[in-house]
Amino acid sequence: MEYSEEELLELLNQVIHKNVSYESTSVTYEKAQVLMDGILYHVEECFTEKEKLWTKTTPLEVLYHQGIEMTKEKVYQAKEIYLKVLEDFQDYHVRNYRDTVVKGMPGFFVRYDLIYEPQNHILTLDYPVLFPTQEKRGVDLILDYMENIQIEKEFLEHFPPEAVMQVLEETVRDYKNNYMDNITYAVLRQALFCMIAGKSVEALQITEGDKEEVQEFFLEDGKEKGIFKAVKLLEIMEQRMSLKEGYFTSYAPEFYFRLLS
Amino acid sequence: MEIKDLTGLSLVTKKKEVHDLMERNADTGRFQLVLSEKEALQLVESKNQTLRMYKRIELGESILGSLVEAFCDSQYINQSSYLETLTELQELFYLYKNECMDQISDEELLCFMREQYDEICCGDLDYLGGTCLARFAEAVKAGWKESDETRREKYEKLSTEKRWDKDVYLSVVKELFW
Repeated sequence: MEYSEEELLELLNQVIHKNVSYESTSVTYEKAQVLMDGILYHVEECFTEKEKLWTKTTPLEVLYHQGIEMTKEKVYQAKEIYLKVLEDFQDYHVRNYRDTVVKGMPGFFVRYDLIYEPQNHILTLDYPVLFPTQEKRGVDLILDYMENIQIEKEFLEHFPPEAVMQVLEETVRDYKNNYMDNITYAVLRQALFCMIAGKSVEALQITEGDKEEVQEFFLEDGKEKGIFKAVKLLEIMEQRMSLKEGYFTSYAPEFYFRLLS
Repeated sequence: MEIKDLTGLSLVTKKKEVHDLMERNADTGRFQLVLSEKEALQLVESKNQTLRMYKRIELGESILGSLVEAFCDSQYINQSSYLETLTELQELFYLYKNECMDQISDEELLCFMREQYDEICCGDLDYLGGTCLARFAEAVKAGWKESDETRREKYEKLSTEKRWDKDVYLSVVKELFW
């Protein structure tokens, strides 16, 4: 989609005036840049939709307002997921997890400037999900993040909380305050070790002997075969636990490399 | 897209800005203040230069019309210094829009500038810029969310000069001549 600089200027002018409530005839470059980025964010929303909502002749202003509506819809979706995640939320006493999801996330819904600064997602999202979504911004990032948190929460709910906490305890000393990694990764790794060692996956318990068995499982494999094995194991787990198809298997390469390091 | 790519553009052409300023002569003429076309163009170009200097962008209506309207009936402006004064005033305007971090509207800033220019600075632009507006900016930054009254209180607290008023004047006259 191409639009003229004049069209963009005209729209920017309108947005600036609304933003300053018609009380200023000028703004700083910085402010204008933020507002222009906001306009482009909304316009680009129209390009991400599967259904074509525009033609080559669609005026920029129409795309802009359409984009605002789509951004608004995403905020509602993110909030819906967030409320669902909060139901029976188990933080496993991990402070970073709790602070980010329970305490931090409401700040987004309160302070997010949907109209003028939609690209600013405000939060630092200190708790990492399995697949960090760094390229995205604004509500796109938050929506992605919450969807991932939801998928991972559903995975973790397959295990008794005590078992999860035991795994974390064995991973980091004083895990409640110091565990900054993704909880799913630690549990996923342990669950796969249990699968390889033929132990109960839900119990998440393996012995030193089991660990040796796991090492032997990958020992003579090259990178390709090792990743292939990881993919297969994760596929089995996804099927058995009715997890979101493809979410955990796509983590296989990273899982394999972290396993070796 | 970078905003600096747009700073050379404007929705209002220079020609239109000059024309709008010339039209203001009909009102300012009552106070014996008029801008020639050449002077109007100089003023517009100064304004654009100031905007670039202070990294601000103005896409539509210019501030110059409001500036002329706000100051044209000041007793401290005359024809010989009209252009120079307007040039300096618009520089001060944009400087203090930045210093006040855009927490104040154009109208409020112009209103304050005019009031101080006449009542306190007696037409001294250096005093207006270096003292009154500097204090005003501090007061705005400290108390924008509060009422006008609170902002004035904060401004007065920052004020260190004794202001000339009738009682002060009379007491000095008595000292000198009695």
